[in-house]
Amino acid sequence: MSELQPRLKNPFSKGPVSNKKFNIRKHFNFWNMVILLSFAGLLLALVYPFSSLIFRSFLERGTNNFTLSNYKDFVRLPYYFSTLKNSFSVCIAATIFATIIGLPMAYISTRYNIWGKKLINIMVILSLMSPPFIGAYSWILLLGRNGFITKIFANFGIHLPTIYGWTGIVLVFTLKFFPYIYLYVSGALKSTDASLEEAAENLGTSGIKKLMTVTFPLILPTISAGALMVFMTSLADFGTPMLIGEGYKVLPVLVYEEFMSEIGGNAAMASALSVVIILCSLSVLMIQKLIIAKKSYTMSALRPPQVKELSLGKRIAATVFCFGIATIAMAQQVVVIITSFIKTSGPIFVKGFSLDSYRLVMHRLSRNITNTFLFSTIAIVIMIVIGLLISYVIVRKKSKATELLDLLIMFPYVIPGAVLGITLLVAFNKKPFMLSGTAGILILAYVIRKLPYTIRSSTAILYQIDPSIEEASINLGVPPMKTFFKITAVLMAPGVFSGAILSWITTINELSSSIILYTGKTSTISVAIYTEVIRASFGTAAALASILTVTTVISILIFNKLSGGQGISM
Amino acid sequence: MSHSMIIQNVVKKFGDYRAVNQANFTVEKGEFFTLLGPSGCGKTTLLRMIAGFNSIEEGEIIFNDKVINDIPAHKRDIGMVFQNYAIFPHLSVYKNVAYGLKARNVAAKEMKERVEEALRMVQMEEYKDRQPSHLSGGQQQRIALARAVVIHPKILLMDEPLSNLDAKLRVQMRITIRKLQKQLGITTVYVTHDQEEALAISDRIAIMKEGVIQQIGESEKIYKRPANGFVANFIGTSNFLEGKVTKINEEGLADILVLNKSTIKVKLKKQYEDKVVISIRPEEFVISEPVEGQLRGEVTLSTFLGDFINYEIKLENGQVIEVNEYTKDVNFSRKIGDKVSITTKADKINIFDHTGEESLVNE
Repeated sequence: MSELQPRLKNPFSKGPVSNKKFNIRKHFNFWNMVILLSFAGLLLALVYPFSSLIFRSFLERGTNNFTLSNYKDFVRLPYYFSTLKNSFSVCIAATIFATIIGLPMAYISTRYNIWGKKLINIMVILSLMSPPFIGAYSWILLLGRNGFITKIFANFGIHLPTIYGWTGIVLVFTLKFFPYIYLYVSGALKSTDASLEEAAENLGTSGIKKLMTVTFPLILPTISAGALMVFMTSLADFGTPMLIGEGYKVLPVLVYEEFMSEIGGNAAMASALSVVIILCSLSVLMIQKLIIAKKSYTMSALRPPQVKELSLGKRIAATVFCFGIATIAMAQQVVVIITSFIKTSGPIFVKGFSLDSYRLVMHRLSRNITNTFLFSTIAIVIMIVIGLLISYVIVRKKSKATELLDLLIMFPYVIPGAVLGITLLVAFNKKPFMLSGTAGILILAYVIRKLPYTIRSSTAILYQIDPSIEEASINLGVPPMKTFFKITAVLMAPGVFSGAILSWITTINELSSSIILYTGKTSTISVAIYTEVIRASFGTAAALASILTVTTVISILIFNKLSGGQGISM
Repeated sequence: MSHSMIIQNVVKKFGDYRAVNQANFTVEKGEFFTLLGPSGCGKTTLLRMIAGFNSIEEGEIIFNDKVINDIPAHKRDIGMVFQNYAIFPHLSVYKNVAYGLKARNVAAKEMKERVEEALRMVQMEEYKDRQPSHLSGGQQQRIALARAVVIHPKILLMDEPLSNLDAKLRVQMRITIRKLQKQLGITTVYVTHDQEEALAISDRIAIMKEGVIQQIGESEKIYKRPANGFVANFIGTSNFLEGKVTKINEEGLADILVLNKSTIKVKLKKQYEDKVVISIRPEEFVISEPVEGQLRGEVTLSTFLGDFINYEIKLENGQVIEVNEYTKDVNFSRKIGDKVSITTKADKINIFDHTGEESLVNE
């Protein structure tokens, strides 16, 4: 028992004094600098612009006095308020339809032995990755007034219902965004523990009942997360309703028009509308979180569920179902690629194939192509560096400060691109922050908007890296900073890069903030596609869209390679 | 080279809670020292303080006369084996083991020799080009061990290294670790919550409870002469019977009335006249046919376990005790319902004061 040693006096130990010194050093380390700089950056790039947006929304037009009239007008005047109703109408419809399509497709493709699963997966991801307005554009090419299919039916004397307006928007959103449900849910279905369903069967529940009482309730949080993504991206999308909506106006279109139109344009009103959109997104997000908070289960798939063998007939039917949907979803890409090779004469397509559209693009719009790749690459490099550092402090240096950081960085998630564009433009069009019209403001918008993807995938992988691996390295004599670069960063790389590739894909396809921020010199491919479509120059638009599509396909292949075929997680 | 280590009045606070409270002990050069205790007792916290991953609020940790409190973790020259192995998943077996040597800028030739030797010691030399993902848990643990010893650390720390292995492998690895430790003569601090493992592997054990060290000693001593009721209960199995000192002479020879029934004579280390707690191991009882004046009871459960038979016996006062009889010592096992008498050897039992905090018998 008596293990007390005579106390050794150590002349270098200073007791509490040395403790204090240690603390000061501790607080001025590298990671606290990262936290500090992140806050400074966010303050400048996010908090400042959005506070001035909110501030501006309370200004009276002309006089700059404080007023609530913008918001009053919004509620009072049907011209404004109807867009809110319209937005909710198309978004709710699209979310419901996307779930109806995505859920069974995910279930069938994960649980049954249908053919071509990998191909279906790639097709679905591909259709998700190209920008929504290309989808709108190709459905116009197919079902529009002079659409390919419309004409065929017209030849038989059948007049198809119009695709413009509510129908078209919902059709495009549904086909465009059901992949969120499909991808989220198949991921969750693969990681449910098989023994839970077996337990249900063992207790005498099977078939549909088991599905409804065990399987779906377990993945309900995932389904709702997917549905939330569908809703939010639909709410934020500007290109689709602009192209196919015609008279049917939704919120982002109204914001754009209010801000851009030279006559009758109203920046204060546009700001108020922007605030309304953000509030809508935020409340939908909150509602989803509230519902899910009580119903979230952590599961580790000790034994993933087995894939069931189907009889030949059923197998064919299930495969046809999945491929059918994937094909319709992918039709847009096929349409634009084919269209890009069709001979044109001005805005009119004529018989025969040629490379004219591409020649025209190279001749007239090569700057847009270089811009797109240059801006996106710069943005991605910035995102990787920031993502790596910030996700580390969020996961490993947990504190009130880093929690706030996490929250702030995720905020752009709920901001539609057009709103972000307007916000940045308003904030940075005067000294000392004169960024408007430069490439810098586009890159800034891309980084702010897409950083959440990189952060999410980086933190996800970091949570999987046991802290004791870092400790082992430190213990073996490698200082903490060096350990971060030698061990942690290397282990995080696949996650960070796959997140960055997703960010890259969405960045090259980005339209809604670019369309607000671009000038002649900084125009990108997606902006050019949009303007070409508006000018009815369909050939060049298709060629540009094809270039984007091919780049996207290549990026996805690289992503698959990097993520070791683990599939996309968002 | 291997070092001795002194832990002096060491305190770790999390807020107001003292996770480690005034820990004091010395680990001799080459000794295998184990911190044993239930989860949350502060043993891992203390180990991480030695490694440099937890700050030291009070007291000092001294390696060979040098206070290491303010030396950062990466400069302490301590080998550590983690509970989940913490093998670098992106490096081959060879590179994992070479990692610490690289950090020390060991020359290429020497590094190769040392890595290979370390791998040979844990019988993993033919796996050196493998990726860790292709190794079993036991193999990963061997790599972790090789990686920790190859740097010739001053001290080797092990944080529940065997807890993720299956029972058979655990016993095997425990022998490997023990042999390797003796062969290298490396000062080792080992953390476990498994008392059997601690007894088997250690030179000395420190038993912790709620941040406080309860007893330090060799396995056999701790088992035979636990310092208090907690230790007696935590290490092995003990039956606690109520007793009272009825008479004590000047030399400390006391009459203790057990359960108001029978009297035993025990020599106490100090003058004490009050209620006591008598702690008796299941194997220290002797069962016989019922005899008047002795503790008596009825067999309520009999479990045949091969080398011994375990009985649950309900005493006349209703208390249930556990008694073991060795198969080789008896000709038959008793049946449920059999009436028996229980006696015990006075020199084998432990007596604690009525709180169970202090032992009243000499070592």
